[in-house]
Amino acid sequence: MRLADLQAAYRSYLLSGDSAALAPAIVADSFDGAERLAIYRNNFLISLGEALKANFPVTLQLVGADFFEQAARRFVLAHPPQRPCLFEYGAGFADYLRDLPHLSAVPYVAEMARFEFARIAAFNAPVEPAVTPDALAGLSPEQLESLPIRRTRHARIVSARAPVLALWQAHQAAEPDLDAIDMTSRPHALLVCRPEQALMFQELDLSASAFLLAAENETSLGTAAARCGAVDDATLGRIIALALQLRLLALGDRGA
Amino acid sequence: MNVLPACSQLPVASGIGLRAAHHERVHEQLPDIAWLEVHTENFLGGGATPSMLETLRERYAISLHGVGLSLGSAEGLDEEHLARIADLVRRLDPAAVSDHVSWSVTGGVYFNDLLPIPYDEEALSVIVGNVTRFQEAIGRPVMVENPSTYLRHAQSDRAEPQFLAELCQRSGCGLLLDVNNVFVSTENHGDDAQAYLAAIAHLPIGEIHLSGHHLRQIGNRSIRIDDHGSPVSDPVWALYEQALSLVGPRPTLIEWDSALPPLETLLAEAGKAQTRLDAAKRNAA
Repeated sequence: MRLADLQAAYRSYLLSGDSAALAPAIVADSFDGAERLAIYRNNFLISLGEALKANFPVTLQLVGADFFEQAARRFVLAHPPQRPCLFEYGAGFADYLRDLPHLSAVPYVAEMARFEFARIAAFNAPVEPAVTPDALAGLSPEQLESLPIRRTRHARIVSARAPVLALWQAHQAAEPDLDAIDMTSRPHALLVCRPEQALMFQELDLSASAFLLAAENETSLGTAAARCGAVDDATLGRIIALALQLRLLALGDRGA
Repeated sequence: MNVLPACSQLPVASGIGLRAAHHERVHEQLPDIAWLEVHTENFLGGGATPSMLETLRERYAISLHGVGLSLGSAEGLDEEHLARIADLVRRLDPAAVSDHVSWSVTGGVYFNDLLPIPYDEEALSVIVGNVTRFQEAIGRPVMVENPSTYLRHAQSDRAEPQFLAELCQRSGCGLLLDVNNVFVSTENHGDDAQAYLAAIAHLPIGEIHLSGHHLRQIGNRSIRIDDHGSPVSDPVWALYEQALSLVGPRPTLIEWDSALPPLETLLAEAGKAQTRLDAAKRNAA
């Protein structure tokens, strides 16, 4: 068999578990081809399940190891990694958990997965130059208004209803104390970012999250500011100061 | 015989694999060990982790050991992934760069496993091409590691040692000799580990790996599975001593990634390898 065809046969076997097409290419002796291949498929599924456990440690605690392993196995088969860097693996895991019927009564599980993936993404985002207060100091109001900006890649916004941040923080203890957490549903936005070495999390008010969401793709400072709604200049100034202090904004390409 | 080939500037001493759980302690305590090996793919993010390696680079020789380049892929290498590796190599100037004689990527899926390739002419020319491209991209010779295998392809027409020899000869790469993998594969396929060692002893071997494995029972039969999650077994220590006497002293890594023990356990294993290395150096002198 040509190598490309052999590898395509491995691909369909590893994703389906059906070894009928591939087993004849394997030498059978004390074990037959299917048994030998199963060792590799087992390793593929278990190792990627372990990678998801490492990337979603609190989600794992919330659902327990048995449930997590089953969900991870199905997720791995439906959404195997596309790249060899596993610290990036699991971008779709939160959506996958959200859509599981078994979890419909506990929507905070998928929200936790979304938060945990934002942590990974913020941690591994490339370091890029951020807009500084000095860069803005000399600009006229018109120049400020039209300044092309976008959110830096370490700055992630997570929408949640459950108290995800409090839950996550509680699970950093060896024996999480969950009694004090108010589980009342309350729509809010969390900022996950990495301005320096350490990750930072904080809840954003509606106008700040609207501003940062507007800057997800390149836009102008004026357009993003307009998305804050009817806020006074002091509030807008506070939002922009926060964004500059935490290095949340990069200069857009049109301004480079 | 005892001069290292161009693919390795590692100290001829024992080293340990550095995993995330030990980053902080190694950083703070700088344990007495000559060199550290990391998985290349864990340091390709843009975050703080590459800068941590830059700091450790001042104290230790660093080996970048890849698990994701998929050198045996018929479709060629992922150029974007290769470019990220080349950036890291430029940034760190590591003492060695390596990956495996296996494949893990096809059709846009990464299987996170070291899947076996057939040992035939087409696979040889594919992997020679990919290793050549790898070496061009980073501007230096690399090492490739012999895998643990649990199956053989019916289409293979040569033994693994011969395939490795042709790969080294045609691409100019070196061999990272994993002695545990030699034991696991030869036991699994009823081959002779001593004959294997004798057949590869003349290759440019720039590094040796030692790790643990376990015996899995399937019905009344058993198969050895490489797990990097247990101490080096006695027969693998014995095989390592034979490898040292055939090849000469070589930089030797204790590779332990799963069920990671305390740092002290890794250092103690490295000490056992160092004792054998010292004996081999005396014999070679």
